[in-house]
Amino acid sequence: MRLETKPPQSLVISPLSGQTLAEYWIAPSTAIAYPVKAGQYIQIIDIEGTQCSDFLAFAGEQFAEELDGTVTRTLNGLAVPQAGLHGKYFSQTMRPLFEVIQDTCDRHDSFLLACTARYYEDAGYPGHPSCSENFNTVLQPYGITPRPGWAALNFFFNTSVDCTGAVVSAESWSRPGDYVLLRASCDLLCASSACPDDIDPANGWQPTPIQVRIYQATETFPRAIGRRFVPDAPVQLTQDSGFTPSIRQLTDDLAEYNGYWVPNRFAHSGIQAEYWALRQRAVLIDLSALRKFEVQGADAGQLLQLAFSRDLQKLAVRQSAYGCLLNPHGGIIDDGIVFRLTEADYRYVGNCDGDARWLQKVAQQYGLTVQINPASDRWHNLALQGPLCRDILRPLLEIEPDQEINELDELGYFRFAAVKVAGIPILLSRTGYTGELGYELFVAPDRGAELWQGLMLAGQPYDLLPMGMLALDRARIEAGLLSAGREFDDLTSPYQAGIGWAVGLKKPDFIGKAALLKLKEHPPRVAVGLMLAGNEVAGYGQCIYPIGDRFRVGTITSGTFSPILNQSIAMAQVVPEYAELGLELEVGFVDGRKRRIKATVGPLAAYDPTKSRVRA
Amino acid sequence: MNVINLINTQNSALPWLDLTDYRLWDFAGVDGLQMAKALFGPAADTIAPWRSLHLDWQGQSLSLLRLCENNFRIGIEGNPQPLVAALQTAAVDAQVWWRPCDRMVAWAMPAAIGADLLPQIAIAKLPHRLLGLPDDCALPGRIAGNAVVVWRHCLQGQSAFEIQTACLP
Repeated sequence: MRLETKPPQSLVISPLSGQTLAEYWIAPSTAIAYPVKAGQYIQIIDIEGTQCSDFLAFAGEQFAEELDGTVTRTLNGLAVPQAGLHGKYFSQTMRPLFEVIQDTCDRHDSFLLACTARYYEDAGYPGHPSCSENFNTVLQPYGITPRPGWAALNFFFNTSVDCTGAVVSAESWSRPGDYVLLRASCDLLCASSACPDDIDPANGWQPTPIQVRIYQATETFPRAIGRRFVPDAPVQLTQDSGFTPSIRQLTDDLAEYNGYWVPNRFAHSGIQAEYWALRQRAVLIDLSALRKFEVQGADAGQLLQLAFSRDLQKLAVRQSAYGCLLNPHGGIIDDGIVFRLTEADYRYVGNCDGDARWLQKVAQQYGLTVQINPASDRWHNLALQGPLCRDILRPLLEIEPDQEINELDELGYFRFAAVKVAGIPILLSRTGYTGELGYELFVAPDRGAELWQGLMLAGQPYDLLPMGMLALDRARIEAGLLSAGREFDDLTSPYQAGIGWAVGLKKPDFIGKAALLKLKEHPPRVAVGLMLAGNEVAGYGQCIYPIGDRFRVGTITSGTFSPILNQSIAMAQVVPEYAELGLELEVGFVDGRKRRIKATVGPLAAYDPTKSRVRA
Repeated sequence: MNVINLINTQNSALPWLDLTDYRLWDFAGVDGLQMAKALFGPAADTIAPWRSLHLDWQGQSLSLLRLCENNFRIGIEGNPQPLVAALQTAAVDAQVWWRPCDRMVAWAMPAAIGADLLPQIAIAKLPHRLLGLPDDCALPGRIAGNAVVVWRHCLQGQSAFEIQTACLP
């Protein structure tokens, strides 16, 4: 192990494993060059946070091949590669040079040069050190010709292209200890900098050191993206659910979603086959990325009455209700389902880790005696959905005593029961996100693989298919079901999102009630479904106009082509004056003016708007 | 060197199928899916990209490969004229283009041989998987650095691996 310069003891960040081959300390405003062999890992660590580290890689004879940002962006279809399927960085010959394996910042720049002498000169700082000049110095011994500016990959450099096309930069998102972990695809000469820029916010006006560690090729590090779901939480790496090992045998197309690796689609079947399996037979979906919280204690019911939109007063034990958590101005913090487990014990299933903190804050504010315990690690869940799913499940089921039902067919919509499926203890809930008859099965993660295999085997006679997120998204748009970030955020009220029916306005009090009473009368927009006249599919954010007018009346939130309706459909939010069923509007395509497609206002759920199938 | 020559060089006496009477046609556009449904029925929208349907179409053996939401490739055995006429008719008032795949050549081998040979010489583009590729599935890949489409479907009454590659300049 070689340490170029010893870091101060207070700044030592623990290595990912015990086997480091080399370790380099890059003092502020300097750069280093270092060799890496094929298969070895390179960890670039922002020790103190908010510090950019530009990176170059060369391969081949006389280092003739080099990192090419344009090739990399083009081949990945991404501004910056992400850990996972689209994580490779390429040379100008389209040869992979390295792959990002882990990344705890997920905000880097691949557009701009490493900072140059010219940048500082033009800003009035002649003689200021620059990453490009520092690279020239450290690459000179390798015979690499100096350049006025190096097209580097600028780790931790926070840039974006704004709506006018300007490339803007701002303070780095990285926190102390954030890192990227790369794996060399071939023998490389690398160069890394600790950027000297102290004349703008890029490094927080204060350049700090960067540490580089090299790990052996024999190490195994899982691919992961680090996220902080609330600002002060520790970083969490993308994880597998209890079902992911089984899923990996069936597809390589997994994407990071809400902290989990989830399948987009399955090999040798694909979106359409999965979609039709859902609508005609049955599918199995891993929805473990949902977050679960146990809400317990004497005031648990009171807390949920305050924080959750639905009136839970009459919610029976073993009954659940869909609704949302609200903020004081009536915006949706998250949507989810409350399960009443016992008289005083509830489970909330939503999308965000932050939900627990919000519930805790409300409990504290109102002086309530409640324990809120995250349970996402204890319950992973599969959705078995489709018209034949009951037939698949029935022979596998043993209902636990005292569940008030004797057989599966008695389990009503939004009811749940403790059961065994193929001998595995499950909380079985008759809920779903597809617009079809369906069940969700909550299981301890260590029994996940067993449950997956058991259901897949039992489903064989019914041609059960596993379903990925792409087909699920198509199905939920048809069914008019909301997706966080598309149909709602914390500035969107339930009336705008199309779930005004889930607001219990008759409750004596709840968070956001005063605002919602006003919003109900005239929400700024309301949710509608649209049927488009052509076959083009509208995307998020496309504008909606009255026929022949230039002013906007709304925007698309989600769009898809519905195979079962043979129609391009969309979910949209429009001003109430233009929400009448049957009204014809126009959706702007291209730049919104070049081409308009007629669209007819319809119910939010284009498929089975009466929900007869889920209640079947 | 052409991919097929390369395969032949490395694997003598491969029993290639005779594709003299086999033609490939492409069509694509905003109305591509609707054209596929008009020509071949609603089953055209039951297949995902890189999946195919085998049809007995007007007495001819035909495979329909979906390449994207609205992009399709047809492989037809025998006289292509009825298909050309049908494409011509279906394309009226539709936003589609259609044309023969004259930039590519196709070769095919029986599936039993291809299933052994191809995983040794071809690399599928991720996330596609060549190993265990079933009938009516295709993928983009490379053989010795050359771009190929590998398509397993029914040809001349048997399951076969078709390899499509660019014509030599």
